[in-house]
Amino acid sequence: MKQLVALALLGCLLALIAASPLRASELNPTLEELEAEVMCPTCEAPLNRSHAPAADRIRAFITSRIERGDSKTEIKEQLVLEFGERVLASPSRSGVNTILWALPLVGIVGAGFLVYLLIRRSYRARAVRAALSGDGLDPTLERRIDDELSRFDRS
Amino acid sequence: MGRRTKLGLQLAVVATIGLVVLLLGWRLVGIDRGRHIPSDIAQGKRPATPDFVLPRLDQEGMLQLSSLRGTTVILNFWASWCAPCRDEASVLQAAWKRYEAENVVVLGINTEDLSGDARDFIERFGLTYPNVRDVDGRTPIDFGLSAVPETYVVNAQGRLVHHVLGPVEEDDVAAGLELAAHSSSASPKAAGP
Repeated sequence: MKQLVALALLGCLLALIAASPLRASELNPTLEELEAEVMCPTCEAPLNRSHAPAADRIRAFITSRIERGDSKTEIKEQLVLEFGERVLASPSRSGVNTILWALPLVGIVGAGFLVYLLIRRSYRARAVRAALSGDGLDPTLERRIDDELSRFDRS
Repeated sequence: MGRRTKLGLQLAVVATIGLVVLLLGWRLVGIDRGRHIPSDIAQGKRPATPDFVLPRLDQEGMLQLSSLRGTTVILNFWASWCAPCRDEASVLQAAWKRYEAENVVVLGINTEDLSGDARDFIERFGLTYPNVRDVDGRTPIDFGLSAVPETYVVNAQGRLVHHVLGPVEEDDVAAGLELAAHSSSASPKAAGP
């Protein structure tokens, strides 16, 4: 029990350590961070890879918002109001976009399940082959079967 | 594994792949939907004008393009960061003043821009014609836009009769209005619905 409590506490501590930079980034975002998360609407590339005039204007907008003390979420929300969802490098996790986030996960789980089925099938086929050929059977199992058969014969 | 489970699994895999292909196809078709418009106009066809309802930039409310049916519309796509758009602003303002009484409307569509910058632009160049704002980038795709500035002339029947790639000049305006007047009186040579 004590070990469980200790593990839970350690988990909470690790979560706190991991969350603190995220929180700092949310409250005090930098232009560099947002440049990687925001797209230039004219060239369909992240801001940090664009020198288009529209990208320059968005950079200036972000800088002014950071100076005003806006959080990362507030700045992104404002940009979505100005340009729509396409301005975000990663789609939001709501509405139809949920499918976009869920599909890779579904794919990975599905692929894992298929691999499991294939492995199981191959083991079964191998076991059937071994049983038919009569060799490769575990000696303990073979002894047990013989015991059971002789007991059956006696009764 | 039972036969039914196996069949269900196979169906699920096929359905997922089908869904992904469908989504990709839908996205590709969507991106290309207005691409034919500039070439149709260049070939002398008069494609139907894609309709839109967009928020006004110069005042409150929305504007639907089809509500201007019966008037000739000079439709100008622009952005405040675009240098050629600054060059043509005075030409469009002059056209608005000159042809306003002749049932001609100049309509600006601000796109890929910050609304604050766009309002500053309108004020700086003293534009008094109506301006709307495209937020999600759909209207430029509907019109097959490749860059700003681009200008279309819509005749009174709602058909696109003229297209100018790059900054518009007085001659372009005059040519577009002549085509609009001619196409409105002549029998329609329409392309598409």
